[in-house]
Amino acid sequence: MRSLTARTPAGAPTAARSRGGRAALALLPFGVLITLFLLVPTVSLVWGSFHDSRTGAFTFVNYSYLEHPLDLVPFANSLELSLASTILGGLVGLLIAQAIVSSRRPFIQEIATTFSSVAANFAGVPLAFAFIATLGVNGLLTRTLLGAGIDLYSGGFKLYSVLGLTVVYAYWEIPLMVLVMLPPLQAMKPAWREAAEILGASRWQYLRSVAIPILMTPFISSMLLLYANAFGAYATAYALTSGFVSIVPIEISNLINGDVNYDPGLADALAIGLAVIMAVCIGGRAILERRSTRWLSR
Amino acid sequence: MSSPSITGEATEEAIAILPGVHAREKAARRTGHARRTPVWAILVLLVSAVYFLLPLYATAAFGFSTGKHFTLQPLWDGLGDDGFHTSLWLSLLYSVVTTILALAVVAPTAYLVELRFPRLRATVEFLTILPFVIPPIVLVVGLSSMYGINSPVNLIASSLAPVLLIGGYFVLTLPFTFRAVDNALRAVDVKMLSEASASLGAGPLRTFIRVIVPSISLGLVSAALLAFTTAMGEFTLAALLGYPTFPVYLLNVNGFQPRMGEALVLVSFLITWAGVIALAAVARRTPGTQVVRGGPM
Amino acid sequence: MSRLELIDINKRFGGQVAVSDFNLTVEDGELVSFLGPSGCGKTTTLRITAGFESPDTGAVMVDGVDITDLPPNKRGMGMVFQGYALFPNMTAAENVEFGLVVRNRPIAERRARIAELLELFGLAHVSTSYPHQMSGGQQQRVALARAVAIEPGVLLLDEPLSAVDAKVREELRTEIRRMVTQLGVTTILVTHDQSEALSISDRVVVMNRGAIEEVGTPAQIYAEPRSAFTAGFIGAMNEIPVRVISGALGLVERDGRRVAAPGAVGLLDGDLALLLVRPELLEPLASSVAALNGDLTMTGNVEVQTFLGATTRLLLREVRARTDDPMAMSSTRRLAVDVPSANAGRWPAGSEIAVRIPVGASRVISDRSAASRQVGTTSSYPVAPNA
Repeated sequence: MRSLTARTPAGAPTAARSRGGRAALALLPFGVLITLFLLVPTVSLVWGSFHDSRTGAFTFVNYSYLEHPLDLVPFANSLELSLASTILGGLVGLLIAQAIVSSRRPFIQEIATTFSSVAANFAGVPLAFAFIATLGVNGLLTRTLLGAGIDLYSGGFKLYSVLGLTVVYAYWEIPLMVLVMLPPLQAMKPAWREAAEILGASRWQYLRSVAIPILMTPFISSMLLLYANAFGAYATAYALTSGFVSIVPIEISNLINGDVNYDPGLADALAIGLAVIMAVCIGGRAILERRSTRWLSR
Repeated sequence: MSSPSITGEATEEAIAILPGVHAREKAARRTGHARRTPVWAILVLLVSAVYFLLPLYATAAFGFSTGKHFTLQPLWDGLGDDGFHTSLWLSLLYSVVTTILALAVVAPTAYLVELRFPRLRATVEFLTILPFVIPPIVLVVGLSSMYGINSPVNLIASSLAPVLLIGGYFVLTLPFTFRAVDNALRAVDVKMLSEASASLGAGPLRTFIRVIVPSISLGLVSAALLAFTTAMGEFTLAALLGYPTFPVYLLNVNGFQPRMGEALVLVSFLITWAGVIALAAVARRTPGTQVVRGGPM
Repeated sequence: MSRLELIDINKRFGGQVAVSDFNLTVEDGELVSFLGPSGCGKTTTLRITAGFESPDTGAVMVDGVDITDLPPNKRGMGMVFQGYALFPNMTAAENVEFGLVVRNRPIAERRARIAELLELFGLAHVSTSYPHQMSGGQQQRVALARAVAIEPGVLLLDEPLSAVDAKVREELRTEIRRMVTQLGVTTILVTHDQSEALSISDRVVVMNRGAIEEVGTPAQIYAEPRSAFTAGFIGAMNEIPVRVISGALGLVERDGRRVAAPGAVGLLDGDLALLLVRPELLEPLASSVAALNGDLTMTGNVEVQTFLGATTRLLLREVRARTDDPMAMSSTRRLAVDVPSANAGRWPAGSEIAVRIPVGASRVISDRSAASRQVGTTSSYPVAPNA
């Protein structure tokens, strides 16, 4: 019997410590970038929100909108827009995601995932103009419907409005929902359904007792993501309406770019408000994610 | 706002939980066809395909015409336009640099956190989630007040101007690039690989380049895709800080020359599409793209 | 009337045959195992019995009633899935209760039944735990309790122990047997683990490539396999080539020696055949001892000793006396001999020993059944027992 030569252990303790120092150095670029372009601006935001834009004095006036947030038109509009597009995008997205999973063909799943990635990235300026070409006053769909006897615009529809934005937002909310809901749907074990069936459950009983409770968490989590995305969207809205629809992101941009309305302090405060809403959504999502992975990864 | 897409995680077997499976089985009795795609699913997928292709078609219909008949002239006008060239070139430049920077910084960082600084994980993850909470419109206010035209540190007027936008883009794409790389790292047993590599005599840098990077190539490709497409399509930062990138140009040109503008919208879409397809194909061909499940089979 | 009948079941998936001509009758209270390698059709047959797949032809009958067209949720069967399939959003108690809730049983009755079952399976202390908080063994017990809670007419177990640690597997296996006997429920167990099948079944159905190889009690399957496949699949088996001299008298010949082999009765004169002997039935002799009357011997060098616990397996490489024997042209003959580990030192590697082959008690099968053998399992090189 030949014995194997023992290998020398890799690195004495002192070598490990100096490697630790060098390794920490490798984290420096990350730290620098984060500090300069994330932390510093954030601090500046907070600082600016508590200072009067003209006098520079410490003040709470920028946050006065918090007393009656919904009285502020931008906030009411943003809320309505985000809610509507989230519900629309969420439900349709869920349906499509389930259709993809039910197709049971890996080919379809691959195509659909790619397609959704592209569609979800189509948001912004190009999307706005694509929709103008579709549902604008002279848009293709508008004219087609006119030919079929349906006059959208005389019925009160305007693309450059909260309603119009809702439709446009849905275009990328739907694929986003698909991408986020595909993994949980695919993680549903066929055996659960079969177990329920052999125990005597009907399709509806299975849905009610097993599938929906399990999927509720990832579903709500996904909706939170959609809501956050909709609330914070700027490019699509600006490109579509040239800034004439009053939603929070556009108000913020008017306050830092406008000549008459220039008020960085207020912009900071609104931005913080927006960020808080995002934080609540993302935070809620993080909590829910942890629960759903516990159930869906066994 | 350009909303970066979220890549899905590793998947398991698919299941139908809505109508059809058993009814289909009964209907298909004695023929052994229990596994075909349900009809409702096909319908839904067809309708959604139409819905998503419609705006593209409308854009083409408007952009590739003179109002009376089909022509590609607006497209040629657009492609020949100087503004188009400069803005596209600028966007490409920024996007490529952002992508390289993101990979070069995020990959080692995620690796080191996973391997040697697990206690930093919570902090790092928080930092990478933070940009998610801070959408572009919020970030741009902060960047503008710190480094913008009216601020003490006026980067925009200086020769370091590109740094501002690239830094901003790095931060914006961070949640997605980090997550893609981190997922890939965690799916592979990084600790085991690194120890095996070290026991064979490789130094940490070589281990990283020759062993780790190839085994997380799928994650790196995803991260690159996300960073690149996000940067290419990003409007908010560029517009409000005053950089004439392609999306900014697209907005302006559609105001003045609608048909040419719409034609170029299609070009923009094709760029995004090409990016997704190309990188997906590369991902499939790269050896070792299988996401390995750690632990016993 | 038998409890369960599977009649002429055939199933194809695309071009692949999954199950062919499956016929089986299971009596009330019997525990029958479907045993075979991966892809042999055992799981598909089980799923057809449960109703998750429809057979292309054939019928499933319970208590004389044709239930082939009945959906799974109306068959009143219980099933335990590989990987347990416990509902992750429910506690152990809620999982067990599910079948009763679906049947709208009154709360009092449900509570009583759950308590009774949890007690029976030793799960009372985890009744409010969720699946992700339980060990594999506990989850398996919950899955069993859930399946029997509805008092099923037939219990189906799909590789219930494959996801469980080896140590726990033996305990659980015995528990399953005990529970099945106590409840008197007709059970079908699908497994690829022969020790599992042999230790707890009333009967074993050995399957290969979609078809039934043979059916018998564990003892029959082990000691008297009827096909080469079964012989090779179950345990380790030596196959010694002989030539049939007289099928009527049961006379075979090897290396010039003729012996009586009752197992060869019925085979064709002149045919090549295989003498099947289990390693534990071969005895080493001192090499100088000549062949005793009526027995074959083989002499060989011990190549390798494999320690198996209570026994040690000696792998012999045959030393041939005659070289003009046409059968010597075949590959080198090897033989596995199991001896008590305590004695193994007497025959170290390199030593030469002779073994006596108890021809009288050995089965003989025609070598033409080689077509039904799987590659590698029944070669003359006996394989180690399945883990």
